[in-house]
Amino acid sequence: MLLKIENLHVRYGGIEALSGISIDVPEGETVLLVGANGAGKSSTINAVIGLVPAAGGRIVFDGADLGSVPCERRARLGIGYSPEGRRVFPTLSVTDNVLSGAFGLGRVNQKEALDWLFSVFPLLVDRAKQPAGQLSGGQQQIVAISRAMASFPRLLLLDEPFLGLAPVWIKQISDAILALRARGTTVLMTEQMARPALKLATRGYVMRGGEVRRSGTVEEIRDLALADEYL
Amino acid sequence: MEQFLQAGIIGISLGAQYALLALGFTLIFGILGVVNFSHGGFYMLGGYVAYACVDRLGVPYPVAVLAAVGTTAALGWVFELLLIERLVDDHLATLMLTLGLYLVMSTAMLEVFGPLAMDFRFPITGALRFGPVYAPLENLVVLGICLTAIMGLWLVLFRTDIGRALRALADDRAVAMAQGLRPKLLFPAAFALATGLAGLTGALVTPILSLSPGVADPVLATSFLTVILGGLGSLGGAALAAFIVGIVEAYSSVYFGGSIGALILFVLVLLLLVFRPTGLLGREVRGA
Amino acid sequence: MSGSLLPRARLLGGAEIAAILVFAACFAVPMMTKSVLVFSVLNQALVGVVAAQSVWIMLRMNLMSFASPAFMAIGGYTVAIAGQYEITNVFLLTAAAFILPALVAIPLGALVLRLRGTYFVLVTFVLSQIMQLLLFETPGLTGGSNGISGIPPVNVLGTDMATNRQVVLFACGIALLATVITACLTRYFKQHFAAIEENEILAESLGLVVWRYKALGFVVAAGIAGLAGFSLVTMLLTAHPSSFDSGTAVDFIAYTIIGGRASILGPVVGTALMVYATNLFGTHGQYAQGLYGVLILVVVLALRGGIVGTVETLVRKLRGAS
Repeated sequence: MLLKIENLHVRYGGIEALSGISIDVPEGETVLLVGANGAGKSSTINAVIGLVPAAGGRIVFDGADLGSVPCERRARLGIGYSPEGRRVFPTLSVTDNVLSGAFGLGRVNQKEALDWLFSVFPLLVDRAKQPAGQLSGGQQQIVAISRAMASFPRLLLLDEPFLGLAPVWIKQISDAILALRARGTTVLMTEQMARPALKLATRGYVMRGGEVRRSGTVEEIRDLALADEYL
Repeated sequence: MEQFLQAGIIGISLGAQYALLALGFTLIFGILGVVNFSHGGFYMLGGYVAYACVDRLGVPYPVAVLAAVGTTAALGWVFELLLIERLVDDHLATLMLTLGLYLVMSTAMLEVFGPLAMDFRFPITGALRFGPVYAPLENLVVLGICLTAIMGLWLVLFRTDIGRALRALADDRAVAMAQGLRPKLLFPAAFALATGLAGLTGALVTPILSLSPGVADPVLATSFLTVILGGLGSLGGAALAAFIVGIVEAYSSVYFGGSIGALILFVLVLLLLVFRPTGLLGREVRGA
Repeated sequence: MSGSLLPRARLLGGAEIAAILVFAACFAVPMMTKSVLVFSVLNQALVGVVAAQSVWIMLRMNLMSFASPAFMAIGGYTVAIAGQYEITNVFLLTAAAFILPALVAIPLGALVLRLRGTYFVLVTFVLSQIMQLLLFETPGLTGGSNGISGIPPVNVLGTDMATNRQVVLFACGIALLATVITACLTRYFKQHFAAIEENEILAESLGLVVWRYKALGFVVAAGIAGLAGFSLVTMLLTAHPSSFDSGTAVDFIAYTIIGGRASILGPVVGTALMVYATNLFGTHGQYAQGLYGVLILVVVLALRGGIVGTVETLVRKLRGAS
């Protein structure tokens, strides 16, 4: 198991955002957290990367408890993060955005990452020098995913990669995620729009009100989800 | 015409000095969100360190300038790491910390060197003559070094990993940290870079202008003015505004005399804020 | 969070009453001593405390103002210029010293209060620089670098405040007036100011018209600073640009921060102690700045409540223990 979340609690002030969820992410798989706004999907992702503290429970990555590891060290352990709402660095060029995900890895590794990402996402080549803040939402999403991938993480966290995007971009980003999967990257992603996301996932968890309601293989979730109120 | 050209040379030279100061100031604000009230203090400290090296230790002037840069950068690093770091998200608290440091620094200089101006001279004198126009050699040397330093800063910020990381932290601190960029290393580095630049400016300029504990205040005021004009946190804006301020100051002192030029500049900046509250090249910055 | 929804506190609280009593008690000091030193220190403190209260009002809303010397200059020069026309009536002068800076603060406030906190600090610093330059560049009105000297003594109900003792009594009166105004303002709008201090954006989203309270605070703070200027030129018998140097803003901020920003007693205690300490340095008064610096660092890093806040916490702990 690459990532194991056990009985995780997250609180904002007095409000409990996650009340004891457990999620398993096996190596090489793509795990989807599906649920409405406020279900606790982003809180889960943010707790894994360390942007919000866990109020209880454990997050175990590759056998090591992340409990006391600060946010900036988790990335170095091999966790890539593409935040909700993309949050690219607006004044940095597209290339600089991507390379900021590969800080301190040396010119050779950086060049390798850049060459690979440029080959997967031709868009990055066209816009290389443009400030990322000027790109469209879909373009920014590609930049955010590339930035998260620049260090070739073992686990990629994708928080709502389709949010607010047109179908043409959803298709492109789906293809991109499949390309990353082909490389052997393990993915933990969240999505409100279950249909396109389920095409990518191997396993799924349905979340609601800070709890996991259902879990299973992607086929089981699809059957549930299509019949269910969660969509 | 000669007078016009000569004032232009002085203005550009002043602009380059102000640019070094304003770039450092705006760098600290952009990356850490800290308003550095000790910026003028680091300028003054740079001047005194260079003076002490030349006068008390007999070190050649270029070495003294390097010593000033090293001292101010080191002090900036330590100050950020030990004090600012603890309260880095509280704008008012960090502002007061830098104010406190400035008061301590200027009192220390007063204690060591006394209230009077030091006899600190630039080692190169004379002037170059371009037809009817004289350009003081010292101003040209300082201009050259300042422009080189600005280029160097630009290379660091736009061509290195550290520079890219600093700009990323300025744009979105939380996401930058989640990408593995370490503020504990980068914040002190940014502070040291900025205070080192202030120290460099002080070591270069105080032998031409003057060196006394009183030199810090006007430097601070000019830095404020420049960054407000350029847009707080904007590097390009700071550089552009610095040259505008330098040139306006040079021409108004030639053609109006006294402090009318400064007054006009101050009022212009206030008026600018009515129409463009974010300055010339500024954007909506962090929730400061 | 409109005004009606917020509970209004009692008009004056314990700290406010204590502050007012302190200044009422100050009237007795000139009756008990003839010491020139006591007069001098007390008078400096009485001027400083008024300026510090001007800083404190803005700090209630988490805004640090370096503009107090600028408004002090307007108040001070107003009185000095009126003196040249032999206007010495204390009521007239007090009103003018308060109202003129407040009037100037209205357009300036409209300008600077649109700015976020950080810009506000920088711009108020620039404002006091502008005032310095204006004083030097308008010799016809302000005497330029010579200033205005030979200001006639203030006339209170037919008596000229000419002796040291009378000047101190007059300063007591101004300090008392400033304290009452400051106390009333900050008590009456306590909840509003606190909401802005806590989280301005949240306060605004809850319906508080933030700019209205900020503007009101800025205008009254300017008036209070004007009173400080009045008191200062009356003490010095001269209005000079160096009295209103932008560096003096740092002193008033230091008084307030060191004393404690949570209660009106903060600027009072801070000013009293710092002015006293400054006088201990004797002819080396400039070293006081270093002391302020160290104390500011200590307060910000360790004693967030300043002197008054720390004492309050200690008293509460002792009470809790007993």
